[in-house]
Amino acid sequence: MSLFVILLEGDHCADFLAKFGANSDTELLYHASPPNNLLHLIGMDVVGTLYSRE
Amino acid sequence: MCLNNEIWTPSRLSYNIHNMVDSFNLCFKNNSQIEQVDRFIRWNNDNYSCVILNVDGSCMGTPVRASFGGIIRNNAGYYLLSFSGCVNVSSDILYAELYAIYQGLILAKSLNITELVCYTDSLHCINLLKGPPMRYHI
Repeated sequence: MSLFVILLEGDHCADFLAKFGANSDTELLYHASPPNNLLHLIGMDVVGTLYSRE
Repeated sequence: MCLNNEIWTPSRLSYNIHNMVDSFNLCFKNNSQIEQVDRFIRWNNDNYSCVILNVDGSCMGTPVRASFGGIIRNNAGYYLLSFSGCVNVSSDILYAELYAIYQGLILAKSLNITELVCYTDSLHCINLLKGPPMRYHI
């Protein structure tokens, strides 16, 4: 197991899920299929989109 | 007089000060060049060929509410599973970030993933986990 730090700009999917968690009242929720707006972000990651660091 | 209490002539003192200013300027110039090289970031930038876990914690809203989330994908970006949730016991961002890592690892273990790379954007968490054990921390 390895643990790395990355810049916020490379972590859009996790960022989305963290905010998704804030808007639900569930303590822990597993998503067997990705929530609606997450698909788009996953697609962006798969094609290797480069994000500019602001 | 200078820092070690030695006596210097004004010209030598002036020369040393200018030299030091030049050195400092050079340091900062070099730093800005290094930062410019690595300005673009993408998912799995290091190209690890195993299962990838991305986690994040967040604190937002009034009253402040902490939450966490994470996603597990293989190295090709194929979606395996993701999780999200809110934290009721604390509104601390460090707690949320650490809890995200914790839940991500538990989930990975339950999926029998043996090789895993976990990414988080919290350097503080990494330092706490990888650094020497500390009894107290901020």
